[in-house]
Amino acid sequence: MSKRKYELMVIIKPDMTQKQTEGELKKVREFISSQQGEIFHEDLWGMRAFAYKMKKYDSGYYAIFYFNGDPQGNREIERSLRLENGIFRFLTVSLPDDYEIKTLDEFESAEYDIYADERSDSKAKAEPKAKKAAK
Amino acid sequence: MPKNKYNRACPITKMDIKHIDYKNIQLLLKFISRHGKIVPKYYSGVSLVNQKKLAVAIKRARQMGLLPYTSKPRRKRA
Repeated sequence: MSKRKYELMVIIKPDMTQKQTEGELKKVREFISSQQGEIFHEDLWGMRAFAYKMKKYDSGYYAIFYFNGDPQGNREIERSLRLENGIFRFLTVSLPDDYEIKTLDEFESAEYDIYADERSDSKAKAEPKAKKAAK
Repeated sequence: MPKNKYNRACPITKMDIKHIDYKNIQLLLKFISRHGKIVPKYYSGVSLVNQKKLAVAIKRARQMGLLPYTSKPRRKRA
């Protein structure tokens, strides 16, 4: 089986102690490695507020695992995650081969000015009009 | 939100973003309205291919509690 790049985001329930959270993280790592997955990067976002209330919780512990695995293994990992009580939600996504890993800070601090050049266009258009009005 | 202008280039192509990541909240926020809805491509000017990828990314982010389904985004808590 050829392996593919995957990314697994896990949200752990917020009412767990630090030890329990670490235990859950350890279990997730075990689930991945038991299915011949090789974790090549790990990103722990930590506690984070949800955008909306989910099942009476309004925050959770986010952790992201990047690993090489196969589809069958993924199904098994997801099955074991579903049975795990401390895990609130998870999401597996397959990644393109040239995927660049970014940290949370990089995501949060990035600024996107998507209409920057259009604004300069509209200024340029607005100026001749003003000149016409002056005439 | 700028008004529709015809024949303008797709903002995502312009910024040279190849992979639209659902974790890239700052980018996705630009393409949802203040009520949390996905902005139609005739307002944002995003190409069809990118709009579809964007929609998937926004929906994933919603599932994971990174973006709201409706209403204004809540203020960040410490």
